[in-house]
Amino acid sequence: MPFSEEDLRCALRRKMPGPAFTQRVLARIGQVEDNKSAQANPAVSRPGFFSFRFWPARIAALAAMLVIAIGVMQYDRYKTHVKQETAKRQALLGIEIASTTLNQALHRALVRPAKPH
Amino acid sequence: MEAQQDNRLEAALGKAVRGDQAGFAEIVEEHQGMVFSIAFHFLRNSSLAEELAQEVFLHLYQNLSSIQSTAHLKYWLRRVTAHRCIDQSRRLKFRQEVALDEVAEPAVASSSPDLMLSERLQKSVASLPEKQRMIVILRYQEELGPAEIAELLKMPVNTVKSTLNRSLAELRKKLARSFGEMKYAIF
Repeated sequence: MPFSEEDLRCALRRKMPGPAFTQRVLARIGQVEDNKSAQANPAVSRPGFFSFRFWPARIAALAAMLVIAIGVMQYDRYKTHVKQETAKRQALLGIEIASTTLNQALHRALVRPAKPH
Repeated sequence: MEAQQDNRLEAALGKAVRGDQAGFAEIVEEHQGMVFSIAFHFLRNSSLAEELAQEVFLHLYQNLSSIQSTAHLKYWLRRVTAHRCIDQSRRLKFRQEVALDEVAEPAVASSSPDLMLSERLQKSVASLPEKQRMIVILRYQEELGPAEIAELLKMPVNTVKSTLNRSLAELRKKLARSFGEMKYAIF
């Protein structure tokens, strides 16, 4: 199928974008400019410390910190208790050993026959 | 008349450079057809073409201070659009092949005596390799000479000329094949 350069020009003639294209471009520029200014001045866009925006997240973080703190304290108490129990058991064992040794010594002394003179 | 329009655009450009939105809007109004058409004929997808045209104008807005005149503005817009089209096409190569046959034509009043030939030509142009496609669009849509195309695409003039000849030969072949297939489909 032959075609002329004029056919090609006709096929590639200019077309217009949809209506309100300029408004869409300007809106997009406005959006980009807003983002840029928000990035340049973070103090304006960043919510304050007491802002209501992040309260649920802050409460959750606080609760998690509280749980962790209580957990650490409980574990510390448990470790101390275990140490105390071990020390108590060792002391009782020591006393028991000492008592047995003393009893044996006493028994030997009492039942030893008197030396003939 | 043309000088009057040039003066009007020069004034709009001056206003836009000083940050006046109305001046920039006038520039967009004036060149939207050119930018959108290059993108549309290259990508054959009106929503992608619109997105790309918007990005080009956004880029222009950010670089307005580097534009020296209305002629430079036109050259800048063509150059940026051409390069972005080629980049976009490379990125969407896979999707592009699927989209080619699915896209609907935007509603435009046609002055072409042969709509079928026109449509076949558009599809054949869209199926050319990126550089060839852009050269054909710049030559026949924008009426640029080989030297202007060479400057825009940073290519030697002789390469542009030979690519153009090769593209026309390919288009003739593609069109002959396409009409041949259609004849067999009808009869």
